[in-house]
Amino acid sequence: MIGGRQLDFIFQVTLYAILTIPYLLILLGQGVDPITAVVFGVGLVGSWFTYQRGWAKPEHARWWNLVIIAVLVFSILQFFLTDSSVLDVGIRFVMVLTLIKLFSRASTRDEHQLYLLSFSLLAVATTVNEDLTFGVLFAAYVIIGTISLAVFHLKNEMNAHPRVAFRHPQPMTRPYMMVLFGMSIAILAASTAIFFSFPRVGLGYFVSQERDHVSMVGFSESVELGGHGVVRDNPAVVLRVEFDGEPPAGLSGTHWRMMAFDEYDGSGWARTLERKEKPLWKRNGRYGLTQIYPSSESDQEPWEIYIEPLQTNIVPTPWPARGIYLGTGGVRIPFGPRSGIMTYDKYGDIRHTVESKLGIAYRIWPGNPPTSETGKPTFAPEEEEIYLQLPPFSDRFGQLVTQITVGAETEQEKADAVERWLNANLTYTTDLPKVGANPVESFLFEAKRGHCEYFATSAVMMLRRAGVKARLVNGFLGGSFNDVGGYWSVRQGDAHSWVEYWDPRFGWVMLDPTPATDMPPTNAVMNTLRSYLDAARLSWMKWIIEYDLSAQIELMRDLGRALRPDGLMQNAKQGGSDSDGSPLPWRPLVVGVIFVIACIVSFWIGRYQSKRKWLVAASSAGMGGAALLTELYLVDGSTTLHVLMGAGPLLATVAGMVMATRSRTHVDRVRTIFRRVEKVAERRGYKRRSDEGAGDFLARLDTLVDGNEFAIFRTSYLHARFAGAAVAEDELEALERMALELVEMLKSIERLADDRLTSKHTRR
Amino acid sequence: MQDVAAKMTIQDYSDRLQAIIDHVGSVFRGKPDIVKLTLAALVADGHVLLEDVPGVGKTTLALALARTLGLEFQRVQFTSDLLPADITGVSVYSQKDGSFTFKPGPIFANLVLADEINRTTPRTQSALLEAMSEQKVSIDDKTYDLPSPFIVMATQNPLEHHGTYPLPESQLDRFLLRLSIGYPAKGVERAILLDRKGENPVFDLETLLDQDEFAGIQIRAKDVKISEPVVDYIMAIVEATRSDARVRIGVSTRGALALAQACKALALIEGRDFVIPDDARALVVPALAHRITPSTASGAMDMVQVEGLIEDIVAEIPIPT
Repeated sequence: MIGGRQLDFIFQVTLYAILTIPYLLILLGQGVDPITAVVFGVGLVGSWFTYQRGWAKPEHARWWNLVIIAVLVFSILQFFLTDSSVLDVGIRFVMVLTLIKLFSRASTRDEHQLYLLSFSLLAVATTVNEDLTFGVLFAAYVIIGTISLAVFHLKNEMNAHPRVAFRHPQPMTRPYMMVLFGMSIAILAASTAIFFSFPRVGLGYFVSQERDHVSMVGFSESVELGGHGVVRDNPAVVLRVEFDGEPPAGLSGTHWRMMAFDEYDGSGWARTLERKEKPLWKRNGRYGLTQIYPSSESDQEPWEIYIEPLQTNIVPTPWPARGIYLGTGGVRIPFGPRSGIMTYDKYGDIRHTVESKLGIAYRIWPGNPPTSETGKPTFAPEEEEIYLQLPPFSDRFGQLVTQITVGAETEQEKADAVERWLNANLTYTTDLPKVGANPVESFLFEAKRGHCEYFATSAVMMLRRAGVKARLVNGFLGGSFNDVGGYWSVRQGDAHSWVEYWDPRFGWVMLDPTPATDMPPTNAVMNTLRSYLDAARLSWMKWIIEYDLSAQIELMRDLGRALRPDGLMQNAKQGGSDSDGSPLPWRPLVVGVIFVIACIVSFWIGRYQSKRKWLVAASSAGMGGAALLTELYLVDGSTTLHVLMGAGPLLATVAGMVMATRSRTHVDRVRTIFRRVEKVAERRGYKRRSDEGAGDFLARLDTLVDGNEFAIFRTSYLHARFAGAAVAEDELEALERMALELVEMLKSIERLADDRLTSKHTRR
Repeated sequence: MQDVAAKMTIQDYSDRLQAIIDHVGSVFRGKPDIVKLTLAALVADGHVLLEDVPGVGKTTLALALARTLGLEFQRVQFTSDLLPADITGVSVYSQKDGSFTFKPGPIFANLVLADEINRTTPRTQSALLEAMSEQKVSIDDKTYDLPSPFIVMATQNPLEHHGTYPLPESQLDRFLLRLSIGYPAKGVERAILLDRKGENPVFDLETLLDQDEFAGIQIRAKDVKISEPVVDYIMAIVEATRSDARVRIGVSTRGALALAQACKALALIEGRDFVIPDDARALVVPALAHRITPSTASGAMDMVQVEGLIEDIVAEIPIPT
């Protein structure tokens, strides 16, 4: 019953896998409370053992059903009596039900129900997890699920018809599993194709629903001087910027403005102005920002920005930006949960009104800092006072400010003087010294070092003391370029504070008093890894989550272009100059597909043809060369990419060969030897009859030739195959050599036209 | 004997057994396969049922084997008036010392030829079959051990139904192999006629082994290895007989064991220390055909038909190579 046991084991493993995958998805999407999560995890593991022990009995089914009804009643009560959302209660109910079924599993019917529960869990998981992990685990689910269902069916058939099972003592032969695996891949590919081609209206409505737990990038709407150093190395990405063409220079100096503060009470910042948001005006297909940020015209193409879900709906804008628009390139939002408008408030903070919890995409038209008097933006007189507010300071502070700004007349001169003094006399550190009751004074006079918030706060205080209206601004500074995805990313660790002061010639002008610092060196490997992961995340956002009808049309247009007879050449000539939306990155895709195919072919040849050394070498080199050439011709990437392309298939070959030596048991090898002889003999007309075993067949072949080679081979082969003892490597090699000789011998004998020989043969 | 057995290689055993086959073949001519299978049954310490028409050499075969192997031989002709005591023996009252002394019957021998076993009554049949399975005889509250080895070669005539009592399945199960000899090939029969001068040459046959040597061979046969693929194959065959619609009662576990046991003996004869699927394939019909009950209305079926049925079932199971 080897076959049956093996089958059952594969069934058990795959069943647990397709229950674990939705569970992991829910866990990663934080769709369930920690207690249920832990209980389910422990139960999942525990039920494996209780099932192996056979603790569940069919006669207990009634009691289990009672438990299920109790859980159902409890869940309904929970929904009506507490303010839990349908989704939370539903997730918990399905998970508990799954656990009960796992523990009470005693029949095929229970297993059928477990499959249904697995599908429900996966459906639930789609609503709570919209992360990149979903894509990866979903692919695994499709593959394993297909295999599991096939094996489940086979197992049931074998239980129903034991005779069928025994006819084929080893039903889980390699070809069967290979075909099954291939089918799973095909199904995954087909479902992916359907995903991209099936008309879609917008992204999931479920996703935007309020839930208890949504992972978000933290952004605080208040500032306390003190605990800022912690986020400095937080690698969570806040936003990503894609450019049409080359990224502009000086991106590392870009200030991503989030929100401004006006009142400083001596230790922390707050906002006192009435919170009143006005919609931005749309002009020329974008919301103009020129009346908010003074700037001069720039000829830069708009930037496409994807922000992660933030705890606020403030939109990070590079300073100074001239225009903004919701949605990117080809992705327009006709209707649906993401439609919203842009607003601004009295502080000049830009917000969106989109209800999505997914983060949004928008475009920014950047500008240059103001050079000439570009009109006078309105400035409300009742706000003048608040921008000059000061907490009590000692005389020392007043003297210092007077001393610094002596001789400075205009606002700009005063600001420059303050910036110069701060840069020259104080140093930047994230290693905060202890601050006294007045953080600004202890920073200026005692510690003489601090981080950006100290610099910015001090600068605002000094400017206000000198009579310049000023405010503190929070946001992000700089970021880094992701080589893998070809975009700019800003991380939470890039959080920064700076100053805006009122220049009557232009309006609010940015001033960053914090001196430039060298960033601490970071781990290069980790960075690369992070880049890859982050690039994958952006693609996921763009192509799966944001994917909707308009993106679909765009994709189809690109595909159509690429598939036109002259499409490839044309596209190659055009390069990246397609300006209508975001084209499908078909060249990296083609390279990727060819690379994957090359690796699979190399692996296969290494795995199953490892005996033919020249073939393995040729295919490995050929595949590596092909992948490398394709990559050179189509994308011309970095040196790392060249190496990867060339070495990938080689490594796959090696992996295949290692697998071949590992997985091929001696029995397999011994049998392969006999099959070769058998095949050649069959081609010469000597087919093994269905009532002949290897022994009788080889004895029959022995009568064909004069020597006793077949008899010797017969003895050795039967011993290796059926003696039940371990076969030594040299014994195997001797057998292989013998088989080769026999094959030659068989090829030399005359081909038998009819089945003459069988009549001559007598059994034993 | 142990020392000798320890020194003997598998090839030595095989050579000896092949010599026996040749030796027996000199008087029981043209049927080396039958001799080999019968010898396999004897080596496996199993009883043989020979089902055939009279006069094809059943007795010759049994006698030749007994003489060659140095076994004590007895022949019992079963008739409708044969009583159990006629086989097992009786206690006789001795007037001299006033006690009963046991006179052993013909069953007290190493090799018993039970001729035309289906001619006698079920009562007598069961006396024999009980002795076959228990290796002892109970008479008047006393138990007498039968000699070792104790092997019964029974013959039955399949054609005559008048005045016969067919053996029930449970009894048939006690025979390791059922064989049918069949008529010799024309050339062989001609040679037999030409060569025969006077009496049957079997009575002049030399003895090749003594009893201890034969026992050594039997012990060695039990140590022949049977590996998993072969066991799986045997299991597949047995299971197939159980789930086939044409079979009412499939092969029992005893039947599966019998097949494995016979395979080991055959492997030893072939000079192997391990069983191969070919052994099982060759022994399927002799070892299993008499152990299944077909789903015909009467449950009975001609021997040839049952063998065809078994062949059909086995043909659908691929032989592990």
